[in-house]
Amino acid sequence: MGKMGLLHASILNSIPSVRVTAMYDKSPIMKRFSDKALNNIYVTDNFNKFTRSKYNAVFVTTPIPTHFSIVMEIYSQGITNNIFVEKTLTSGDQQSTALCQEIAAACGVNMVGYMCRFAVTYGKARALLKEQAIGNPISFSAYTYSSDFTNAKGKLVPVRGGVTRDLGSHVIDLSLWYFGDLDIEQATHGSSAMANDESGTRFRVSGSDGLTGEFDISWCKAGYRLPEFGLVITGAKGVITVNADLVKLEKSGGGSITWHRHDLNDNVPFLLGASEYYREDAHFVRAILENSRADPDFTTAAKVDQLIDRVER
Amino acid sequence: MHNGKILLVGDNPFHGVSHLSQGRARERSHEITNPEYCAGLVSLAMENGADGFMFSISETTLSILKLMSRSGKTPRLYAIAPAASDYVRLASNLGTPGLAAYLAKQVIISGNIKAMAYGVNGVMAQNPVSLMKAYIFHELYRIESAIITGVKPYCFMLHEIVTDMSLALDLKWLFKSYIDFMLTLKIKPGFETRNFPYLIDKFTKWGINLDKVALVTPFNEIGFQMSPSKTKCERTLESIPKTEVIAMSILASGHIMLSEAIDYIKSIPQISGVVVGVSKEKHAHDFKILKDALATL
Repeated sequence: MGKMGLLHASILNSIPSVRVTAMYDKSPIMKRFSDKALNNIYVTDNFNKFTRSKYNAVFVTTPIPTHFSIVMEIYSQGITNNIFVEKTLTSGDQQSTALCQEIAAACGVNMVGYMCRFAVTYGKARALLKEQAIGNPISFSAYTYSSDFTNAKGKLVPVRGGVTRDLGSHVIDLSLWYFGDLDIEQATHGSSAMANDESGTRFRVSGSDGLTGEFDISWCKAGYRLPEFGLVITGAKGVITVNADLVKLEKSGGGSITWHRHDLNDNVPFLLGASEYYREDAHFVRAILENSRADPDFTTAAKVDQLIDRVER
Repeated sequence: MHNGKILLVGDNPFHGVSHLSQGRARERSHEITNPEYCAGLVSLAMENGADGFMFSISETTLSILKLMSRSGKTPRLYAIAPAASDYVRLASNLGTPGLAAYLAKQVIISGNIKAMAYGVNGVMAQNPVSLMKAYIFHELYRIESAIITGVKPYCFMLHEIVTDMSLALDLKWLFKSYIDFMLTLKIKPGFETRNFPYLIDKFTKWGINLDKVALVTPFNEIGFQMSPSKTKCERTLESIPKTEVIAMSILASGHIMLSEAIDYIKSIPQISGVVVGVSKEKHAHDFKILKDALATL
């Protein structure tokens, strides 16, 4: 019943072909209040009770370290074959690989919540790359900044999974989506702002055809009231700059075009948080109804975990 | 006011919000987060025709209200709660139970007896309605503490995140009990939403009297954030002529020129008013142009 659980539950319930029927939260207090507030939804703090029923699909929006055990339990008990997991898929490459082997036996739809793929600006940037608007990409610079822990003074220890996994995974996924497989060249971790945790990470990568890239990830950056995910991509014929607000195309010969969200047909049937969340959930639902593959699925998302593991090694 | 159309100053720029570009919001953040500068902008907008101030209840806006109140300039208030971005950040850092504990602590620190009484009842009886009342009393107390003139808000609105989540999860009890409670306090109940037709559809099915509530929702020439579509929102507006509907995002966060926004507003005369944010003195002076435009509707 965290914020992502409520966000997905709300959006799903707004889709005409979907009805949220049950929720699980391990907190007895949350369970008691939610039970009274959510009249049409069965709420339980007992995982065994939750798993007694069969569902058309299950969304896992718990903290990252719990994803692996929960998803394995869902598969092993046959609760459903259609599973959506909030990013990242698991806490590491080994677990993600094990899950991918598990889904090979199942015949359902699986998906991981990398919502940036469903934002109109990042989609536009990918379309520009596909149509060779800047020629072949030569290098890129990717960043993710937030102010989540700017004022943390030692007592606050994030339990979410570390800055690279929790915050950086979105821009890592976008980079893999844009450029294909990447290899780590060099990684450095920022000085700790909090006990037992990292404040930021920087690393360099290389890709096919001599592509080079660098990542800068920090959740201690002042001025970022919302997390910002961005890339600056340099190609033989120009530069593409993209974040959640806009895409800018600058041609080497001069001239530039900027598209804001406003220009890219951003409307959705139900707007909550940001339009990409609706598109993401609708994509998963459509894949189930049409028995098609959702993207990014577990196999695709596992590549993000592989890359993060190599950064953290 | 002309023809009953209301013109409100919005507070998004004061919170570093720009739906056009967060980069732009960061660039202007140094001066715009200074409460004295912001209070000056709101006052200037009032001098140029603004009728009131629509704001999320946060430390920033309460400081602005305090400054305005001291100079005897308390505008008509449209309060929005919760200040969602503050609470989302807290939920990210503390978790949902941690956020609830933080709020409870704030209520106790404030010493607000009504909020504490409803809060204790809500926890002991596990009663969500009591908790909602405790929260509203807490937020109203914060506003009252900032204003020396004793003026209470004309309208108290639920933030779009709460409104739209509650709509989707069919929390009919929340809307009904919230509206009844606000009416007993003689404060107009309001809802901010980015899903205007969806809200009207649900309220109609639930038998909620739309004449007693105020709504604020996006209306602009390019249909930005008008879900599911500009056409559907405009048709819905025509179907509820007695409801107070205030248009927000008329400039689509600066993507549209003021003159174009005015032309569009003139095409939807059913609206009850508009809310526009200010981040520069020029914007505050533009309120005179907006006021004249609303007068012709």
